[in-house]
Amino acid sequence: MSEIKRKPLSILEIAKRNLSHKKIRTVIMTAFVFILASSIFISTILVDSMTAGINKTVDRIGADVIVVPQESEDSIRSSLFLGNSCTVYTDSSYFDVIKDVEGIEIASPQLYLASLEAECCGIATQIIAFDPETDFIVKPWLDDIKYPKLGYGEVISGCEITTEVGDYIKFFDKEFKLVGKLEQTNTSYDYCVFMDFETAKIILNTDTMQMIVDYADPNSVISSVMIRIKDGYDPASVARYITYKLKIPMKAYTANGMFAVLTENLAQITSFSNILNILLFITAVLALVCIFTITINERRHEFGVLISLGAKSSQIIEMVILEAVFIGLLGGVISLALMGTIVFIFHTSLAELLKVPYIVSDVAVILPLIAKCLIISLITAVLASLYSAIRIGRAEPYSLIKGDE
Amino acid sequence: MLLNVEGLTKKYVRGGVEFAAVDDVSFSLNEGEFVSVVGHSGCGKSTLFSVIAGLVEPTSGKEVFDGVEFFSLSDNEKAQCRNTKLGYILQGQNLLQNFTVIENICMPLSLGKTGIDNAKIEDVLETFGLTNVAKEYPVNLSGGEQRRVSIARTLVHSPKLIIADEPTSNLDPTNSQIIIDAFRKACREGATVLMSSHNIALADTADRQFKMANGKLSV
Repeated sequence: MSEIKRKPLSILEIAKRNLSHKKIRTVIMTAFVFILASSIFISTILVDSMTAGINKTVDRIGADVIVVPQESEDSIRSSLFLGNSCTVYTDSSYFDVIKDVEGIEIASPQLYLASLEAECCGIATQIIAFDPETDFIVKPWLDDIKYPKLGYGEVISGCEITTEVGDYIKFFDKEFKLVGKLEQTNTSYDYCVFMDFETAKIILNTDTMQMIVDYADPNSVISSVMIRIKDGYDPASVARYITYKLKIPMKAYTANGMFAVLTENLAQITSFSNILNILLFITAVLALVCIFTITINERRHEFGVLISLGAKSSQIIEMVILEAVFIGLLGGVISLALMGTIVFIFHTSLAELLKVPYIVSDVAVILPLIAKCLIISLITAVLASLYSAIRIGRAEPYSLIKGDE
Repeated sequence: MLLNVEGLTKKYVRGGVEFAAVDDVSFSLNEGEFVSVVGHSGCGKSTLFSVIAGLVEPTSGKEVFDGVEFFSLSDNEKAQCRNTKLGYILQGQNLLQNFTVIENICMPLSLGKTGIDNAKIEDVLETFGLTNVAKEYPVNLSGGEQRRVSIARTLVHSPKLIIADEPTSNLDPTNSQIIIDAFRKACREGATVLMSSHNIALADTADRQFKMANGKLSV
């Protein structure tokens, strides 16, 4: 007899027992909350990641205006935002035309070359060459890693390039010494290799690259011009002037303007995601209301028995709502633990899979989002149970005992 | 006097026609009495018991239970009363399937948030021959065992009034006798039992007997 549990059960324990003894019903209800919480979590992470990606890319570019060859905007945009490597080139003489435009403080050319599959990375790598004389983008990064100047044949890389500093990295059968790695930026630059124009000529003069860069003089090509604007000048006006007045086959964008298309798409995706989440919330509430109504109706006799034993209406309502709270918590916690772990561990693979620059995985961002999703899960479950709980609480005990609906 | 009922009436409307399931019933019960009510199915016994227990509102009438005007109590006070002074044994199988025998028996104490008297629990389990199945779930019990658990659950908080609606229906003579013996024991300890039964022989063992027909109660 001493083994027999004789502790009075609390309403909380009664509610828990009711759920654990009806596993299929509990699993089905939990699944609805799971789907809702997962959907809100993933869509928010995705939208936040894309927004942060655009903002970080714009910040990291560090130029007020970017000039790119006409018809090549998408390639450059895709390279800057997603890290999709590209080879883009036009005549370097256009740089001389652009640099003298009024309002430009400094202009610096860059060259985008896509490697073939490299040993370091397994996939094509974006090589970005810069002009050390005029550059104002890469130099500050060299200062950050305390490497004042790249020598001939030397390169630096983003943090995701697997080659170790001091080792050699091979492009087009030529070896380049990796002398430094940049801090993580969570932008496409994390997957890029940077070198100066002199070193880039080693690549440009390979037979393979000469077949790719079909140009009279491969040594006189550029891909873009990065511009810093003088104080008091409007970057948009300077960009318009370059595009429409210079009569060269290049197009200028402000840093934000370069990603305007992406921003517009993102706004659409955000609206779509919000609508989807609202619809999902309504669907989950309605589905749970239906399940609660059906199961509570089936349990009318059980509640009647409890009332005959002295349960108060408030205890019955509390029991039903606590069952809902458990379902909300269970669905929410399982979903968020799973989704949070997936995002935390596989954020790099997910970014590649979803074609976004990176997936937000900072604890400072994830934890508040988990709390938000958990609250929504709880609200959903409790809202869904309220109708049944109040209905059962107001029913005449004798009708409950008889199981009348 | 523990219970006094006067002019108790409960009317329903069926098919647009009003009828009295309980029709102007008056009677009294004293402490320690064992009283049975006999009558055909549908004569109004269950409705009468439910009204007395406060599980259904009467159309009219008065009930004084343990010195208190019962129908003037709030729903919570009636629940409190059912939890402490009034044990109601429902007709048929009424165990909570998600809970073990011991948990079912302790349920009134759990709902009332009162402490559990281990000696009392052990006594009840022994009285009803349930010690060996205390940790079993109702699904694993026979019909007789389930009924005994249901009655043990009502007696566990030593109510002043035990209302038992057909407690021996579909039970074999042995199980029926265990239940009647338990009621007798409760009466000796001061409780009052009001029991309905189809079994005339069992009903005859009561101190007094009422007959019920068409909602009316007679001696």
